[in-house]
Amino acid sequence: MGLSTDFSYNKLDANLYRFAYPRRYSYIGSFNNNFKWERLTVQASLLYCYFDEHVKYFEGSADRKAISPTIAISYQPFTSKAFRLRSFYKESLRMPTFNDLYYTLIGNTLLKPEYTKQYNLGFTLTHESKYLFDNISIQTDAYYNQVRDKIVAVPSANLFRWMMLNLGSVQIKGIEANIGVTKLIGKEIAWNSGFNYTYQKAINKTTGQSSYNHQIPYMPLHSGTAHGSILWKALSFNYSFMYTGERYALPENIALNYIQPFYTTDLGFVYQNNNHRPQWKAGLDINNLFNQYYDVVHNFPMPGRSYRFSFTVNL
Amino acid sequence: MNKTILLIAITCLLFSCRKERDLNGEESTPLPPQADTTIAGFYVLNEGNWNTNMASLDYYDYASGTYRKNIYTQANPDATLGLGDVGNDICAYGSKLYAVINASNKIEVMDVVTAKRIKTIALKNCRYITFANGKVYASAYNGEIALGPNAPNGIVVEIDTATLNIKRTAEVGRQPEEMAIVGNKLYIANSGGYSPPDYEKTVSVIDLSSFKNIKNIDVAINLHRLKADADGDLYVSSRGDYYETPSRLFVIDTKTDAVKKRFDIAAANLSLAGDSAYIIGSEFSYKTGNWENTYHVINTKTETLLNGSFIKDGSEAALDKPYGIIADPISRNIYITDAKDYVSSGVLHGYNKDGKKIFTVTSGNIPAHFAFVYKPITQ
Repeated sequence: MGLSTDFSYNKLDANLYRFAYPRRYSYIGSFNNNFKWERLTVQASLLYCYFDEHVKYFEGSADRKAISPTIAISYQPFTSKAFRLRSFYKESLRMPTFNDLYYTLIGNTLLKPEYTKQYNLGFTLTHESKYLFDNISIQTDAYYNQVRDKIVAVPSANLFRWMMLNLGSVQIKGIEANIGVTKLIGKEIAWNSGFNYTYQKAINKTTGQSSYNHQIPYMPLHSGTAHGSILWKALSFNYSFMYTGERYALPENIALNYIQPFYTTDLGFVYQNNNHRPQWKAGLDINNLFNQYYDVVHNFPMPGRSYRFSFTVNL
Repeated sequence: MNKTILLIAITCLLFSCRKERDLNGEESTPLPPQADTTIAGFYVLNEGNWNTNMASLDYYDYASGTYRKNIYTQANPDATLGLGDVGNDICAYGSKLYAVINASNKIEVMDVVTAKRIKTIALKNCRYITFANGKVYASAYNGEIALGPNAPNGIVVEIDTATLNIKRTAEVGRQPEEMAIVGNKLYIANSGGYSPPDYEKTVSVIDLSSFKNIKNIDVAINLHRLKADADGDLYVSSRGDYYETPSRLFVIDTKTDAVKKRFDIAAANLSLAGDSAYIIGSEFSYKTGNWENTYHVINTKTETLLNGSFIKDGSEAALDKPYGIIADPISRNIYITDAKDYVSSGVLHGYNKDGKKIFTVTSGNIPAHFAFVYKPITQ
């Protein structure tokens, strides 16, 4: 059982024109308790926040308070410790920062805090075997999040005045899976690989908007990574692959806002001489092997195929 | 090894998931046709959110009533990444169409019929465009897009319409905006918007013979719009400072080059046709945090503010952020764009001369500027 309290005081001064000179007093209290049985662990906590805000000029952000509970459960259903079920529920509040609120010609003082409710269910499995792999571990989570008043920045009537906005309601459903395997081949070759896959449907649920029920900007529905490395004596080889599915640059899922999916393949070779002095290391990296055109941020092209040679000597 | 085969398989699988971005995404929407006059239709320049490189061009054809969206990318498949970043103004003059692309620091010159690129003219932080006597004039901040007191003075340039080269340059105030030409003088509104509270307060006057700044007329802070009426009066808007000083509209008499009248109305944008000035006020107040939209008419002959909104059927409630406006000088139809939340697709609304809505069509991102195309097109 634990009880903790925090008090913090933030102030922001600037020699900017029309600056509000905000002060924020944050009072945070947290009560948490752990329950432990042989196969079951339960953690519960209750967080109380109170934000008291003052400004010298103009209107400040209203005072905010919230009580947010969290409960997390971890359960081992079988006698084997290799498999565990996990689940949590969490509520949280994110206050807009001073930057969000008070930078003149950028912020307005009317932002509301962002509230999030998270539901998560998942399992972990670790398994050692003698056949296909020496070791395999799998982690999978399914989650459902509800975000109210998500804070985003959008440009305003002219480009001197970006506005911070609350986006209304966003609903996120997702699955995340991670698999890791390791294997010793013969006596000298060590291999390990990892795969990650994420499915995330993040939908704008603000009624009355033209992007109602559309996937929110810059959030791919599918994304994943794969990596592998092989170690043989002083030589190692790395492979990494990243996939980001189709995305949209702006809230509406229309052709004009469409961003192509991209996948980059990177290779790396390292030769490391550890046995003789001086120790040295030589490496070759090839990034974006297939020289694919891609944008992470819409219309900001990323580099094509690139090479990097490295040589390190430890004296 | 198995793993290699697996990885190749995954790569091939994902490779097939990638479809080409549909850059030729021209869409047509049927709208009511308009009376066949000397105006063939108009272009709409969608600004596109700053830093998104999403400026786009639409065209409304009067005779067929067809509204064509995103025509630039189809007309110019070789133009890398489209029209550019922030389309700030457009005009059609002679056989050419000039689009000022602010954050791409260029003026895109196109064929007025096909919208095919003829040339691009580099001009740093260019803002607005106008024309007279076979020349095109463009205003430019002539510095980086950045707030601060160190921004240089702005300029106005004269472009030869045959060679499409900048012939002459004159220095004006900081961050100059709209221009109008009356007689042999060019009037340009200085804003000083990069360095609040030290705004500019003047309209600069350029003598077109010498192309020199011959005087500055004191008006108000943060000037923006500037239009000339049939009698040689200028309607100049002040943005105010978004706090204590609200947006206002001033009238300058070009015979005396002095302010002769002030209208205490917000003027975000306006269009003059015949003896009427149609003014939209879309004003944001940091004090209340609200937007207030107004739709005023001024009789420019008598210089009086008429009662009531120029939208008569109550349909203005559908407008979120009225942004661009143009009145057809012949039919007196009024066209208003709605920028919405600046990240969604905007909307173009058409109203007839009685202030009744006749159509609504979805446009590109932040529809803002208009250029009428007159027929027959004369060189």
